[in-house]
Amino acid sequence: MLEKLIEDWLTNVNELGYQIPFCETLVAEGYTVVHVSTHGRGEHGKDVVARQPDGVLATFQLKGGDIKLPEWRRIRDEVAELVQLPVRLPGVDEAEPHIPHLVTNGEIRGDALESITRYTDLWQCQNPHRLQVWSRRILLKKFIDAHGSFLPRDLREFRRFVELYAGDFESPLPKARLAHLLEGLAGEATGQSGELGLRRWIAALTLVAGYIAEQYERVGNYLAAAEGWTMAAAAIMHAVEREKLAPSTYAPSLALLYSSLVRTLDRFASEVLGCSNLSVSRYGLTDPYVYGVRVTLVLGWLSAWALDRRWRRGEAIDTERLFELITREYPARMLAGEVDWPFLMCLALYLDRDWKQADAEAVLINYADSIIRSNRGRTAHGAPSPYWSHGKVLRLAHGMLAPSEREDFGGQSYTLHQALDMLVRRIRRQALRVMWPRASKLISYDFVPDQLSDYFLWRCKAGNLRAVQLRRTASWSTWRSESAALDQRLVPSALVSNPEWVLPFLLTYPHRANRSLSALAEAVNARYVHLSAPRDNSED
Amino acid sequence: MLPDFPRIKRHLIRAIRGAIQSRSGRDPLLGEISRSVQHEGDRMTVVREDGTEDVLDFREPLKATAILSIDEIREKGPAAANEAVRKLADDLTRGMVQRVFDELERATEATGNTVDAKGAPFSPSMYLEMLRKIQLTFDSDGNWLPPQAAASPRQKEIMESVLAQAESDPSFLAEREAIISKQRGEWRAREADRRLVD
Repeated sequence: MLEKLIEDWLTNVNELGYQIPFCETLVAEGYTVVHVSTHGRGEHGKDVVARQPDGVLATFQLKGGDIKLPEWRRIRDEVAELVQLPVRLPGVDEAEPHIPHLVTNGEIRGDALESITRYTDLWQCQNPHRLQVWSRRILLKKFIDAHGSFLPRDLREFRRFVELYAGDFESPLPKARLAHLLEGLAGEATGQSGELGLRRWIAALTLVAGYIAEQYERVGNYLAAAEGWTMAAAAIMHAVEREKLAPSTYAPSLALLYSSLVRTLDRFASEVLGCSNLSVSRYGLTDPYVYGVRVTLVLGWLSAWALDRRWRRGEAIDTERLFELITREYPARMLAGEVDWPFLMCLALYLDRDWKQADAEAVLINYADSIIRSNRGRTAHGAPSPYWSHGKVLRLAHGMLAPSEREDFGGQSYTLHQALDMLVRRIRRQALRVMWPRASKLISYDFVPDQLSDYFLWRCKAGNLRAVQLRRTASWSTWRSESAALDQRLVPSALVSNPEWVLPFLLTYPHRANRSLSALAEAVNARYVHLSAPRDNSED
Repeated sequence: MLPDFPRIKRHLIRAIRGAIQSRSGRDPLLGEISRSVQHEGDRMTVVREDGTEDVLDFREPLKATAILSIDEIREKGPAAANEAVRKLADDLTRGMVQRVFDELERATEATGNTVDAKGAPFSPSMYLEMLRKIQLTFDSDGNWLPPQAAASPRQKEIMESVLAQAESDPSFLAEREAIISKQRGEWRAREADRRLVD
């Protein structure tokens, strides 16, 4: 039955959709993936460049669907480039020969096969390595073999997988369900021996997540897909943190997931920046009820995308257009609850980085003030905690929750301190002075798992929720020095080593944006916080 | 396997959970205490303003038992379940109230915030002594928010009667006002201390 599912997926996916899972099968076979093109057709016809286990260079051009003669004629020049032109990548000698592969998830039909054979013979004059053709049959076998014993075979896990695989891809990602599936698979990591076994397990986990995330991306639900890729990365980082895995074991798969995330967010940004508004016409009369929440989600992810693209990868973005969108839409945002914190934090980080410090600080002050105001008065309800997703908050607002699901939120906050920390770092003493008398009345909640690896779980069993009654009198100088440094021992080393995942992780797991991880978000964006190295106790 | 309706039963279990929570919410004491949910973890550490800490580790969950006999199911049908749920809700509510009192007793004995009546009947002076011992609360305008008392129905009658009579005693009123004013001043000083200093 599993093979049928994979076959069904392979039938319906396009070439960009199976690109990353294809790379994972190469990794599972012992290839080292050198380059993956994330923006449409690769340079010189090469979508994927990898080294075989024996070190020989291999190049791949991916196609979607059957290739008949007219299609072959259309793509022939691109395939010629694949075969005849050298690989041009840093660290690869242009004179190095490579084995070219034409890959398709369809079949070669009719006269196309004869024509491909003839051109292959012709091109062999220029490339000693003959063009290899991997069609659907070969590809399917590779996918099935790559999973080995790592796909969910326990009936309950398998059912979870099928429910996710056949889900409603235009709705938000059911993160709790995906987390249960991935965490169940991740638990098997401890049973794997040797680096190859672990690499195969990680590749298989990435494949499983890919089957699901790709379907969201296919229908254009980019944020859900981005969350899917991030959750797969989190499952890997959980194993990395827990088992202290060497980078050689997990880095290739994590890099592939990152390239999927980049591709997904590039498409998302392209769509959003091209719109004049953020409305969705389906059931249009009800769109105003969700528009404000959508604004927060969009601005948060767009900011994370911009920070990564512009300042981490050094690629250009249209900052004017982005700021125009922020200015246009920000007033329409609606505070759903403390789940908004990482999204607004990302927005503030981006504005700060783009020399709009006053706007960044306004976002933070606005947020802090909203939390404080929601707790004002004896009958104040407070703001829903970050464990309440945007969807759940909307269901509460519109009477769709059973009474037993309600909670009291008054008198407490999980995220106010983080917003105030950021204002302290930006020396907004006057704003703090005004807010502190009311802020100090709230109980500050901070959840810390017992194991750092458990940060990557959707919910963890062993951990301490600290409910702190803040001191009435706060010292500015003490607060300044405490907020400027973050002890690395308080945060997962997997995130410190892979900083590109910090913001996507916090956006996908908003309840994890506690004081330490929010400070980490500042530190990895090279702003205001430095990571202090763990103290060597032997020096005492 | 006998025919069953698991999905409907799951829905009903959720409704029963809600009914039990509603019952505890209607309790005069528990209804005044806000309820928050801890979504993960196995303990909570309460850190007070003075830095002292208390760890709540949830290792002894509150339990209640209801027994449904087959004869009851046959005779009463759904009503049998309704009765069982009511009993569970009442037992759990009583258990929660007892825990609150146990915790109050532990905390007040530790701090010495107790008034020993030594068997004497409730009196206005006893009430004033209690007011002196506790930290009174005020709203943002400085208006005193009288504390709540938990007592048996008979004791409640007595206390209400005694205090109603005391309302016509000028010395009681003056004494009470003095206590409230003193504490209001202390409260104002505490609130003024909510500030950001160097």
